[in-house]
Amino acid sequence: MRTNESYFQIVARRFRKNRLAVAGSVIISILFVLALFAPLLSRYDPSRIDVENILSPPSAAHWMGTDESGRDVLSRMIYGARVSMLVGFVAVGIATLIGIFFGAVAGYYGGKVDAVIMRFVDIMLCFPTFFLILAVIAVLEPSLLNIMIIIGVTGWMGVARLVRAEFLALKEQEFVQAARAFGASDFRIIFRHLLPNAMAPVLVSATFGIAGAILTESALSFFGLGVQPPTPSWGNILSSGYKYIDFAHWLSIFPGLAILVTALGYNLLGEGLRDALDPRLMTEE
Amino acid sequence: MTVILEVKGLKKYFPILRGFFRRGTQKVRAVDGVDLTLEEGRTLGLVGESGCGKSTAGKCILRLIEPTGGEVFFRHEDILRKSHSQMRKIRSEMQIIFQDPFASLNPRMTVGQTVEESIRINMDLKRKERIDQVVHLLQDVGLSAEDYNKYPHEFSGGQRQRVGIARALAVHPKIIVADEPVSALDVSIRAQVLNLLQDLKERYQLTYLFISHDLSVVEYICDRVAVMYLGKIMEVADRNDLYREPLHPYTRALLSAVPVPDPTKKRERIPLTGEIPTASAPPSGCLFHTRCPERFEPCDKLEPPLIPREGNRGVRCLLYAED
Repeated sequence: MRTNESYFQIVARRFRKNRLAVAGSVIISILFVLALFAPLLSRYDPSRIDVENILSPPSAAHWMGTDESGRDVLSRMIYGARVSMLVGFVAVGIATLIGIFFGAVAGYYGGKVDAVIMRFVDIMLCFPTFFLILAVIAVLEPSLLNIMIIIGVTGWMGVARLVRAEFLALKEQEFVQAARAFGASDFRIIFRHLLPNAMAPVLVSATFGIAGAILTESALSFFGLGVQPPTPSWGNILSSGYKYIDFAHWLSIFPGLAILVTALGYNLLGEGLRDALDPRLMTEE
Repeated sequence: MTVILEVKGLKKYFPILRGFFRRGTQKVRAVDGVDLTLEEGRTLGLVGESGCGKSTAGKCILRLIEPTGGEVFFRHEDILRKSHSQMRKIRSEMQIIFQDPFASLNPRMTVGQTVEESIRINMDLKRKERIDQVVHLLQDVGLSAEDYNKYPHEFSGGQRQRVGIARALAVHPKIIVADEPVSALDVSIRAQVLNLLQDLKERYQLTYLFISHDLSVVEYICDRVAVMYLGKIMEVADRNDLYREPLHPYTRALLSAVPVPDPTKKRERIPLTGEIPTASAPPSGCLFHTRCPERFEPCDKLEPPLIPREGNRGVRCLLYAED
């Protein structure tokens, strides 16, 4: 018989058993450290131009070579991790908050409120998101902040649906009726009884969402509509590098790999979380 | 005996939503004009087959489900006319114990938090006093102070049910609706929980509305019994009268199906044929006539009222009609 183990401890224990999930979280942790301590970890100023060393291949001095302006690619990659992490978290944070709000209101109050919100979700889902973002960016100026907001504002519908579905199922549960029976307010029922029990799928979808947001940002930056040079982002490093792919492949390979590995890391983490949080597996062992 | 709760003509119709516009053209008459009287300090049993509307009736009385019609007088005030904020203030007077001890506790809250929450909302106490009260309550229902920080999944069904009982008691209710409180429990621990309920009734001066399909449990714990069928009360009587001399053919059939722990005792079984009709298309006349072994000429046309009988009992059957 298990004793005094909180829900979180059970999830952590099950998560640790999953090797791929642990690999994913290691990747993400490394990226975090890189992003957080970028100034300490990079040997060069990412925007320092060195005309003597243009497009030089990877060497002891420049582990990932230099770009067409002689800037150190490794340093730019490390600073690029900052952009990716920031965009991933802020955009998904915005999307999740909006999604939880609409999903909770629709699921809890039901009826006409629910119908209106969910039709609005359907309308939002009809837009091809990427082109919507392109169009909006074309009107606004492409800055880091704008990108995060736009990715967030166009990405909350899945979360809203998830939260609504969870709420619909949960609000009929007897512990919610019990709370109502002793006079708990709607606010208390939503935040104390419903949301904590609905967070597992939201967390999983947010993790996958971060991978998606990072890919979107990279794509936008690749097209020149994202983070603007000279601020380094993996997308714009790739974008300026692909012209030289015939003789300076390191300019394309490293940012490409970084995007791949990051997206992979978040997806592994998400899958691991999904399995660890699965309530159907909760009672066994 | 003072009447603490009186239910008159309680109705709950659920619309069946169909089609694109989700219009409710048909209705399920889950509760269709139920009258009940709870006397202070006594236990009223509400029995019937699954789907007869007994749980819905219980939840309507607490307004956990909004009734379609009727009146519920608590201390001579109709609580169905109260606004939501007025209602919140009297909610602590009437609590509920649920059937499923696995669904009735929030899995993310410790047992202590669960019980404390109901105190926090209804009483103005300091944290220390609240915790003392919770510990006291846990001990009263047969748990220990160490259980405060445990999560529901660490308990067995019977223990969880005790937590549910502690939560209901925490706000000092006058009435407790016990919605099949022991049906989900192992037979071996049913008696313990029933005895606990009996005990607490004395100690906290409670009045129970005890909802169950188990007639032997009801016989054990209830003072008065109402038998429900398809949303209506078919018979109501004091326990001893009902079990000694059931009047309604439905009650007789139900009682004949109760297992008796004596293999030498032979009894006549009254088999009920057919399924319970659906409450969306109830039979004409007497609701029970489609399955009644004693139906006669007018049963499928005339709907009998609840006919009062000697000894403060009533029966909804044409066999007992005067003319």
